[in-house]
Amino acid sequence: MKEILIVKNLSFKYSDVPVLRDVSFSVEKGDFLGIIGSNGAGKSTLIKLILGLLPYKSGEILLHGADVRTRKPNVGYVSQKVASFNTGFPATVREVVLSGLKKPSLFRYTAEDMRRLGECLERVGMTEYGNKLIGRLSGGQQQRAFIARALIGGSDILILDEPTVGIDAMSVKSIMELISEINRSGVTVIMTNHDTPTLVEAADKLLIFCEHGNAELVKKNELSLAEMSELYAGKRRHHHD
Amino acid sequence: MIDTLIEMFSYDFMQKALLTLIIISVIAPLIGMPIVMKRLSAIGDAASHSALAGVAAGLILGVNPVLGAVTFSVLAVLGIEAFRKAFSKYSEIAAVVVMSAGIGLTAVLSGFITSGASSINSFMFGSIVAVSDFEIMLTMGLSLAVIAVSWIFHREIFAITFDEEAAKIAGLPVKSINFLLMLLTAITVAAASRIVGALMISSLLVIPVAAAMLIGKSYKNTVVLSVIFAEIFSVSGFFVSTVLNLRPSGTIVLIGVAVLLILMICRGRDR
Repeated sequence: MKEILIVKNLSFKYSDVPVLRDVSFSVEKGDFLGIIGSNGAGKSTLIKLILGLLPYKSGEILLHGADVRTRKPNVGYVSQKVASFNTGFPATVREVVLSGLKKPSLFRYTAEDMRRLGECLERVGMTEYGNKLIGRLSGGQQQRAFIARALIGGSDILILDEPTVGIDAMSVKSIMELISEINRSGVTVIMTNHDTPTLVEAADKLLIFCEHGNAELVKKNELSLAEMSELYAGKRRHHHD
Repeated sequence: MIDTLIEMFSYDFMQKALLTLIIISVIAPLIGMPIVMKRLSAIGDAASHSALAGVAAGLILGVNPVLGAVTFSVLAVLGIEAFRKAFSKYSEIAAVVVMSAGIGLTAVLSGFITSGASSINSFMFGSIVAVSDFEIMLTMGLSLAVIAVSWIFHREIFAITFDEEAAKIAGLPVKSINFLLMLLTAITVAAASRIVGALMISSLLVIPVAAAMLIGKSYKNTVVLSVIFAEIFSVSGFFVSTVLNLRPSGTIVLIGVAVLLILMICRGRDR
């Protein structure tokens, strides 16, 4: 399988506080990687580093074979936007999704842009909401629109940082189903979530953050839930063959 | 009344003033929209108060006051950017500090103006009769530049205004576009200060946008509506002030506030 993301010996500090220590893992094309760990363990920091939003000195992150420090990574990204979203912003779902195009034409959207818009809205089940103001929709519908915005750029990798924050339980289930469906269509998914059981169920690989910024990559079927809990709590280490 | 209007608008300076006002009423909401959405409305006030200091400096140095206003207004937004970096978690401090500096500088510099002291007053509240042909051409040129740049970068400005983090990840030059937006705000404020008045311009940046937000059905629709509202406020305010012999800028602002209140009441009833 082709490795789409390689993280080698990555360490990171905020001022003098170490957050990540010698983290190494790789993600193959089509994987669904769940990143789990307690609050402040370094999950969101790792996401920011992969996205090229934070500078780092120690280690290496290669996305599509290129160092994220030198080449802006082409990824679809979904944040906790629903939780911090300005609902008074007068933008339609259509306008928001189109803003995810990597190189929009100057004067008007091309037929190809509009085709991709239609395809992405259909993919997330929001076709009939295209002309609705995004602030008037439910949290789940807003997050579907943000997923469509992340997909319209055409990247084969989707990174989601706590995408179900601020969304009701029923919508969480359907959002997770949507993300799994996107993954099954061939898009590599990397995701963090505060709701660990839901993420463990959906992902096929898990990067488990233990104490002191260490992280272990495990395939879901390699360990029992009890063993994973021990790993999570830092009571054991997992050794790959 | 009609005779009065026909007579007034037979004068060349009135026609030019109306044309300039119409153009300013396009650029003010065009720039006001992203500024309001980014919750940076105070930047308009900071730039306009600094523009007044530029007017005073221009009068002292014998330089055209509009050029002085543009220079100080641009320096003000650069100062705001510097303060925002220093107080990143309290960015609203930046606009207040720069506005205070602008007021302080205006007060001090105005004491050194030996001739044309009334110009400061005309820049505060706007003046139609005092505008020279050069200033009208300068205002028109700056306004056309603001419209062109806003159009060229409208997709980037929308993306960054809506979600700065996502825009950064998508590879948009967020810092450059933000800087450009600040620069356009400074130019808009300075260009409009002669006709509308430095103390009034920030209301023309905000009130049409606020009114449009109440009924807008999309971002694009809200921008178009805000320009329409700004035109209605300015042109009607200009005519009313001419007939009733009032200050045009004050009349424009009061009509804007009245329309906003009416829309708020109507919207409240619909809910």
